[in-house]
This record gives sequence, C-alpha cells and structure tokens, in this order.
Amino acid sequence: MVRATREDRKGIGDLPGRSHSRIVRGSEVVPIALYAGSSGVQGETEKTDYSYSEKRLAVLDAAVNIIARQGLRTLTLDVIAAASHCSRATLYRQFPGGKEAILGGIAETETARLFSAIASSMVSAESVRDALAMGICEAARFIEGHPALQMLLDKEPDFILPYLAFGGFEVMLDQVVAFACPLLRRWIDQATAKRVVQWAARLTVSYLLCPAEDIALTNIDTSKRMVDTYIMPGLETLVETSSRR
Amino acid sequence: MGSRLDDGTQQRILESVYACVAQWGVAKTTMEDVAHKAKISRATLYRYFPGGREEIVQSVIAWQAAKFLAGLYEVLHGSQSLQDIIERLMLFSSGYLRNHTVLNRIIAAEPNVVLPELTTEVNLVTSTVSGFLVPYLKEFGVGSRVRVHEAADYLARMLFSYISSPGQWDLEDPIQVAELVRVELLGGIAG
Repeated sequence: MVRATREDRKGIGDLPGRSHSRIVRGSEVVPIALYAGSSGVQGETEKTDYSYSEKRLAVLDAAVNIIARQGLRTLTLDVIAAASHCSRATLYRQFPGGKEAILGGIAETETARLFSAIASSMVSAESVRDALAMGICEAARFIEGHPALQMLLDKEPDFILPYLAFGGFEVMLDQVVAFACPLLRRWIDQATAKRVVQWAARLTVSYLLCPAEDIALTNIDTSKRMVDTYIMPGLETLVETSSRR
Repeated sequence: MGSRLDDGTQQRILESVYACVAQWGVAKTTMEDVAHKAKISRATLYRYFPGGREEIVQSVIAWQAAKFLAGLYEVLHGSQSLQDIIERLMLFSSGYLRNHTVLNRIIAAEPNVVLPELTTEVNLVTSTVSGFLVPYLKEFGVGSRVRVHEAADYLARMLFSYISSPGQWDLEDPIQVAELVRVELLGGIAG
C-alpha cells in the first residue's frame, strides 16, 4: 500500500484562511486590514504573520505526534512546549486558549490535510464513479494511515466519536459536502452532488469505524466495487430524473 | 438472572433502573437508588443481578431492544415489498429515536455510554438489524450481483447513519423516506 508520508503532506495543512488575514501583537489578534495602507508596517506585519503561522503549525505537528504515541488524556502544555522547542509563554501567545485551542487547531489542520488528500486524488478521475471510488479510497488510506487518529479511535474513542455520530456527524457532513461537491460538478448537478457526497461519506465512515470482513476501502478495487454495487445504480436514476426535468 | 425467582420483581427492577436513569443519567445511578426505587433491599437486588451494576445496565439495554424489536415486527407485518419494509423500518425507527426522551438525554449528556456500542465496538445495532433483514432480502429477492449478507449489512449501516444523523432529510415525511429508501438504500440492492 502506497501511502503519503507526513513529509509529503507537509505544507498542505498550511492552507490559506486561518491566520493569514490576521496578525498578532502580544496576545491580541488584530485584523490585518487595520494596518493596510500604513506604509512601513505592511511589510513587517506580513513577515510576522508568516513566521507566526509556521510556528503554529510546528506546535500543532508536535502535538499530533505526541497524541499518536500517548493519546490525548495525558497531553499537557509542558509536553507540547518541550516537543516543539518553545516556552509555555510562547505557546500561550500562539494559542491563548491553551490546550483546547491547540486541539481545535489540530482538528482544523488535519481536516484540511484530509480534504486536500481526497481532492487531489479526485481531480484526476475521468468519471463520477471513479471520482467517488478514489475519494473514498483516499479518505480510507488517510484515516487508516493517521497514527494519532488511530490511537484515539483505539484507546480514547470518547474524544472522537461525538464527531462521527448524531449531531456532530452532521457538522462533519456539511464540511465534506462543501469541499467535495465542486469536484463532482463536471458530471452532475449541485443537488445530486450534495446527495451523493453525503451518501459516500456515510458509507466511508461506517466501514472505517466498524470494519466489515472483506471490505477494505483502502483497496481501490474494493472501493470501486462498493461504489458500483451500492451507489451507481441509485445515482443513475437520480441523473435520469434530473435530466428529464 | 439465572434463578427464576419472581418475574414481577425482575420486571419491577428493570423499570426502576429505567426510571433512575431517566432521572439522574447512567453514571449517577447507583445500586442503592435502584433498590430504593424498586422497594427491595440491596441484598435482594444482588440476588436477581449478581453481576451488579454492569449486569443491570446490560439487562435494561436488552429489555429496551426487545421492546423496540417487538414494535418493529408489529409495524412490518403485512409488508408487500423490500421497498415497503425498509420504508416502514425507517419511519418506525426514526420516530422511536425521536420520541425516546431517555435515550436522547443519554446521547446528549452522556454520549460515551452509548456511542462506542453504536459505532465501533460491538456494533450491536447494525449486526442485529442486518441479521433481522437477511430473511426479508431472501424472501423478496435482490439483484443478481448482490451478496445477501453484505447487502443486509450495508442496509443496516445506512439505516443507522441516516436515522442518527438525518442531515437535510425529514424522516417524519413518508415521501422523503420513500425517496431515500429507493435511491440511497435500495438503489443497488432491489432485484
């Protein structure tokens, strides 16, 4: 099984949108727009902002590695500070919310990495069937190859299961729909895309959380077979209906 | 539960546990509370449930599951097709979950009591439901390429997923349920 290493994925998590529009002074977060136009400050803030986000990412990566080894319950700010070679004070400056803020940052960064991995596998697909199968397979590979996530699922499921069932899962589904629908619009309309993305995400999460014998979604042939068997026939009737409208 | 003591007492204990859980939640319910509510001594309580708290909780779950399945058989009686069965199953189960205040309170306040059972560990729900579905799939027939046991498992997983997190689906609406069952659940399965 070919798996992207952490190094390959590095940088993917450094997506725009989080800290790039903001700078930090002391523990204060100030919208960067306040500084726009004031000469001299502009270049400096951009530089500060850049190294700020690099450092944040280094802290988050260090914390993820610790979680992979020892889980979440025993994770402390001291341990994270030591592993990311900075002081507690620096840590608090980057994450004023402390451990909670770091965990929130991890969730955000790792979700972005998961979505990037899925998206980059789906863009090379030549049919909606292949896009779905490749997306499912890549999601399965990412999740099964993610030591921190596996550690939590295995040893401390309390932290993760609330996001994968009931109300928490609906939030996750909305995120998946928002990022994956555009990747299917080449072949199907928005309403159909929304429906099939949710459907595929439910299938993936179910078989990953509670594996069934003989169904390893990390195998592309298995993913294709699942899509062919359970999704495509229903999807075809949807496409027929929508083209008749 | 081995000793056939007095069925009335056993039933009263289960109902008392349920009442305690409804009032205080699972974690805070003690053997004392249950004995008090059932108006028996702790010694008598342990005679009925030598396994203590753990055995009592499991028995209440089994009792509730049996009640659910009995209701389900009732609702499915006289079904005409696989589509009909799965629609009835979905309407009944989602209504059951929606109206089960105690279960909802546990899911909201003590998710870790129920989530592992429902999602990863034993997968009590999906294995029970898929076992329940196999005879119906055989009776009404499935597509020629479909493997019956795998399809039953898929159906149980999807039923659980859509019922526990409906997203934009309104599972009180029979028309929406029929559409969901026709496409997402049975699209690849129906013969």
